[in-house]
Amino acid sequence: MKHLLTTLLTSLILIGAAFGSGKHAPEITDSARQQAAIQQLNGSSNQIAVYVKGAICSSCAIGVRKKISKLDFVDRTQFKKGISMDAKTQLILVGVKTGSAPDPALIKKAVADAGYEAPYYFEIIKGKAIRKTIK
Amino acid sequence: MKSLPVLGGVLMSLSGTLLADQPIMNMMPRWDHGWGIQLRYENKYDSDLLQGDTVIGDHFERQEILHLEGVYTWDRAVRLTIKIPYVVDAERTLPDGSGGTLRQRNSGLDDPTIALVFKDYFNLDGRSGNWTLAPQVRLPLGKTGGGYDLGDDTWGIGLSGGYEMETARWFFAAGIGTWYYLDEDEEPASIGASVDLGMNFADRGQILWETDFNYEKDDTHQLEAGPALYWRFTDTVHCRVEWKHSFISYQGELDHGNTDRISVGIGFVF
Repeated sequence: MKHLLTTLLTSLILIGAAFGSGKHAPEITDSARQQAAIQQLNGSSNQIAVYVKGAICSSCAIGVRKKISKLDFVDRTQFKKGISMDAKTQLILVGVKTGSAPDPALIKKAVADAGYEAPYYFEIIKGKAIRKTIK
Repeated sequence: MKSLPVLGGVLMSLSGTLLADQPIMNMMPRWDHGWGIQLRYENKYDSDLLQGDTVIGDHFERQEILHLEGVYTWDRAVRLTIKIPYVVDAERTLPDGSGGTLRQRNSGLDDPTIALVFKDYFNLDGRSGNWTLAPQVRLPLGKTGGGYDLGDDTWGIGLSGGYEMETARWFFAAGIGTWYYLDEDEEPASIGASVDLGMNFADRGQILWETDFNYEKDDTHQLEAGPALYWRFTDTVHCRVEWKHSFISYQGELDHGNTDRISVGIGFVF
């Protein structure tokens, strides 16, 4: 019996590992994410929508909120301490203080410190959603 | 009764199985310089005294344990955890060697565990997860003597590895681990494996089915499984409730088994 159980558990572990390490189709396309960002930003020029790769659960937002909310340009009166997250699109809306501009380098570092990656964000400029790559 | 001295030394022989779990709730903090504390109440009830899988007489053991656990994350790749179990009340019955029943009680500190947890996170489109490697040491600070030991009275060295993967909807984790004790007469070496499957719900909850298998060098082995519920009250306050039942319980040496284990924990993360 113990050999059977050991084999079963080992198989499950290997299946899980194989499932986790392989390539897979994205859960949401870039264009669908862009549409979601446009909808969520709703024309607001004092918010940005940051794509936080890997932020797939609401608990993931905890660390991101802790790190991003400390940035000077973040308007903490918006959302919850300036941050709102949609796990399905992995978009994090960040409130931006009037007259301030988001700093991509600081966003990148804050998200990395929270344990994730931020490849790009969306911003409304002159009524249009502009995608900005974070280098 | 020849077996009684042996029995005294193997109390909590399943503790190694659970030592792979780490605060806070096995998941936080992932961010740099994050820290947390967790208080967990565990009620463990062994309904039988076993020799192999044969029930000996009508005996039981129950333990109420408070676990104080802490974690500090330097960066997402490295964290230090400490787990301090305190046995609030433990009671067991045994054959007294003359046809009667010996009843024993005890309370006090159990052996603390310190772990250095290394995590290699990966962030994919729609998925996130990590590989974990955790060397651990178990300190022989638990209460011993008086015929009913709480601690193992020997240093333990452990190594566990794991893999976790989560999507917006699903969670999967698998792990293996081993413990070696400097004095194997006090506690035999063990290996263990675990598989957890979970589903996220209501934006702040997760329901899981967890399975643990543990095998000790003296041929003792257990398969425990059961449901768990995680709930996030706020960014700071988190709780977890779990119940595990022994579906297989085999004691290589005379000891209590056939376990039901209920655990309720609250964690605070900063």
